[in-house]
Amino acid sequence: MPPRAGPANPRGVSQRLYDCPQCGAPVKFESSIAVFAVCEHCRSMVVARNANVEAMGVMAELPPDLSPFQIGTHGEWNGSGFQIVGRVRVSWTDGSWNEWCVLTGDGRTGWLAEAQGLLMLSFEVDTKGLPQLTRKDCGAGRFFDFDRRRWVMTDVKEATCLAGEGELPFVAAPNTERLGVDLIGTGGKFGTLEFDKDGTRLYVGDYVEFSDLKLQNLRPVPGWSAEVAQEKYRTAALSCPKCGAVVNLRAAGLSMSAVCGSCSSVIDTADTNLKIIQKAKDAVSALKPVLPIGRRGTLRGTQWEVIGLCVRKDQWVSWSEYLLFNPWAGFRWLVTFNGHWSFVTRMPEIADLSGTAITMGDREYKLYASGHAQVTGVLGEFYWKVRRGEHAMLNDFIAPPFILSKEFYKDLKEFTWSHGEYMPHTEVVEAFELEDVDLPTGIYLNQPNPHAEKWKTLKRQWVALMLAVVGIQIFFAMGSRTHEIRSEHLDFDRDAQTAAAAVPPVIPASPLAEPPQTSLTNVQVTPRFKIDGGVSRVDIEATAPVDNNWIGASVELVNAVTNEKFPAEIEVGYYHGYDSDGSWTEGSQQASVSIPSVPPGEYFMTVETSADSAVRKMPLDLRVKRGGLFWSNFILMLLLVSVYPLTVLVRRHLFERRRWSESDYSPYTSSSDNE
Amino acid sequence: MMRHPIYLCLGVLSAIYLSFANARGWSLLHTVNPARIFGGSGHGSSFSHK
Repeated sequence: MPPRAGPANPRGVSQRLYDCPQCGAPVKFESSIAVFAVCEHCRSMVVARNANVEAMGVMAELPPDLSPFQIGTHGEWNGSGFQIVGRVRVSWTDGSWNEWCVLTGDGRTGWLAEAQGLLMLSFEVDTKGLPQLTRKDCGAGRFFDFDRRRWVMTDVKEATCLAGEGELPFVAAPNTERLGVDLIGTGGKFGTLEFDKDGTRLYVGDYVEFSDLKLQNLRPVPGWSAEVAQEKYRTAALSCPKCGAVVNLRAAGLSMSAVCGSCSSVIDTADTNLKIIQKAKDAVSALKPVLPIGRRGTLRGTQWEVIGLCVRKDQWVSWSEYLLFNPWAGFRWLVTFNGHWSFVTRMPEIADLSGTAITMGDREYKLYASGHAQVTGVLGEFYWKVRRGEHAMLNDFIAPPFILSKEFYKDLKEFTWSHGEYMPHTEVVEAFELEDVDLPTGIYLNQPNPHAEKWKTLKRQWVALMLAVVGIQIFFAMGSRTHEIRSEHLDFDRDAQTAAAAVPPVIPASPLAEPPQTSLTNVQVTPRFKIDGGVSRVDIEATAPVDNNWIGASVELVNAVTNEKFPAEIEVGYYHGYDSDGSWTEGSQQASVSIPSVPPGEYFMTVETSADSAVRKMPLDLRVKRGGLFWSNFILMLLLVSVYPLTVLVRRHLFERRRWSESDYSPYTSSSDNE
Repeated sequence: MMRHPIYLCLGVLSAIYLSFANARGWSLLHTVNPARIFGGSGHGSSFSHK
C-alpha cells in the first residue's frame, strides 16, 4: 500500500502516512529514513519497506518512568533544532535506559540516550577508516584511533531491545540483541560502537546538559510538575516480592534497584518480575539516615529529592552517600563524613591520566587517597543494581574545595568518575530543614582552607602596605642628611679630678650667661652651640685612644633657654689580646649615642667623665651631629604590618599539614616517613 | 581592598607613625629605652678573633 502524502513539514521533508495494517489507524513516518513505527492505537509494530507496510506483531508495553521526554519534545543543540520522534527502551544485565530517536532540522537522525542521570546526544558517522574491530577486540580500557581522535572503550554491554514507541530508523523488535561499546574520545567526545547481525555502526556526539538543550513540549512529570499537582509527592509503588511491604519508587524507570524498608531486601526494579537481587541477613536495616528518604530540598537553585542512602567503608573509616534525584537534572550525590558534606556529580568518563595528579581546566587535582571500599548498607533506590558487599577501587584527587573521584568496579568492568564540591553543613541543614545534625569535626579532604581564602585578599594589602612603608622611608631618607654641628675636645685627668672633687661644679645661674670652660672640675661644661632646623635626631659620638681600658662620659644636652635636659651615657672601650685560638679584639675606640626629637635651639653640654682605674689621663673627643633617621622605626613598622599576614600564612600551612596528615600521599612527609 | 578593615587601619596607622617619627626624629625604642649605646663599647661586646 503506497503511503499517502502528508503535509510538508517546515523542513521541506514530506511526511509519509500509512494505514496501520492491523487497525487502519494512521501511522506517521516523519523522517525520510524511518522504517519502523509503533501504531499509537493498537501498538502494532509497523515496518515500511519501499512502498509497502507490514505488521510484525504488538510492541511490548514500556515500563512507567519519570522521564521528562516524550514523542514531540523538541529542542536545540549546537545551533540545530531537533525533535524527538521515537524511543527505544534498552536493557542489559544490570539495568536499562531510554534511547530517544531525534530528527534534526537538516534531516539527520540521531539518538539522545538517557542513562543513570546522564544525557548523550550522538549521530551515526561513516565508518570508512574505522579499524576492523570484532567483539573480541572490545574491553574496558582498550582503545583505537579514528578520525584524528583516540577513542577509549569504557564500557561493554550486551544490550537487548525491550520495547519502543514512535518511529525509528531500524526494526526495533523486542529481544533484538546487540553488543554496545561506550567510548570516550579526545576532547571529551562521546561515542558508541554497536555490533549486531547487520554489521558495525559508530555513533559520535557529546555529553549534554538538560538545561543546554532548550527543550519544549516536555512531558509533565508526575509528582514534580505543577500540571499534576494533585499527585505531587506521590510516588510509584510496588510490593516487595519477599515480604509484601509497599516499596515506593521515587525515580521510576530511572532507578534500577530499590531496598524494601521492611525486610531490607534489594529488589531489581529494572525487571518487571521484581526479582530479589539480595536478601538482608538482618530483618531490619540499622541505618538511620540523617537525610530522610523522600525529603525534598533546594540546593544551588534546584529541587532535589533524597531517594537513596549507601553506606560504605574502607579499612579505616565509614561514610554515607545520599542519592538525590530531579527528573530534569538527573542524579546527584551528597557525601557526608564527620559532619562534612560534598555535593557530587557523576561525570562522563575522562581519560585516565596516570600518576598522582590530574589537570582539568585550570585546576590540578592531587591524589589524596587510594583504596578499596565496600558497601555495608543501602536504603531507598539507586540507578544501578547495588548490592551490599559490592567492592570498588577508589582514587580521590583533591583541589579544595573540589574533589575528583575515580571508582573502578571490577565485577561490572566499569570505571566511573565523579566531581564534587565541598558544601557547608549549614547549606544542607537549611535546604532539607534538618535538626540535630552533627557539626563538622576535623578537617575533610576537600574542605576549603579558610586561611587560604583569607590570604588571597590579604596578600595584596600586605604588599601594598610594605611598599608604602618602604616608600615613606626612602622619601624621608633622601631628604634627611646628618651633619656635624659641634666638636669638643676634653681631657680626662684623674689627678685633677681628685683635687677638684670637693669643689662643686659651676653651672651658669642665668640662661644667658656663658658657662665657664674648665677641665679641672669633675663635670665639664661646653660652650653653647646652636641646633638648627626642626625637631630632629641628635647623635653624640665619642672617640678616645683606649687600649685595653675604657673611658665613659655621662652627658647632658641642656637647652640654654628652657633648661630642658637630654641625658645620655657613652662608654668607649677597646681590648685586645691573644689566646689559644689566636689574637682577639673586643670593643672599639669609638662609640655613639642617639637622642630622639631634640627641638632646635641653643644648647650646651655637661660632661662627667670616668675611666678605667688604670687610666690617669685620656683625651676624649665629642662630636655632636644632627639629622638622620631611626631605622628601628622602619624595621618595627615592617614587622607590625607583617605580623598578621605571616600569621595567616603559618595557619594556612598548618591547616594543609593537618589535612594531608590523613593521606598516604602527603607532600609534607618524605618517602622514608611513608615506609 | 576593604576585606580586612582592621588590618588596613593598622597599616595606615603604621604609615602615619613612620612619617611622624621620621619627620620629628622620634624613635619608639629610644623612648622606651632612652639613650642606648650604639657601637663597640663596654665590656663583653663586639668580641672577635682576628
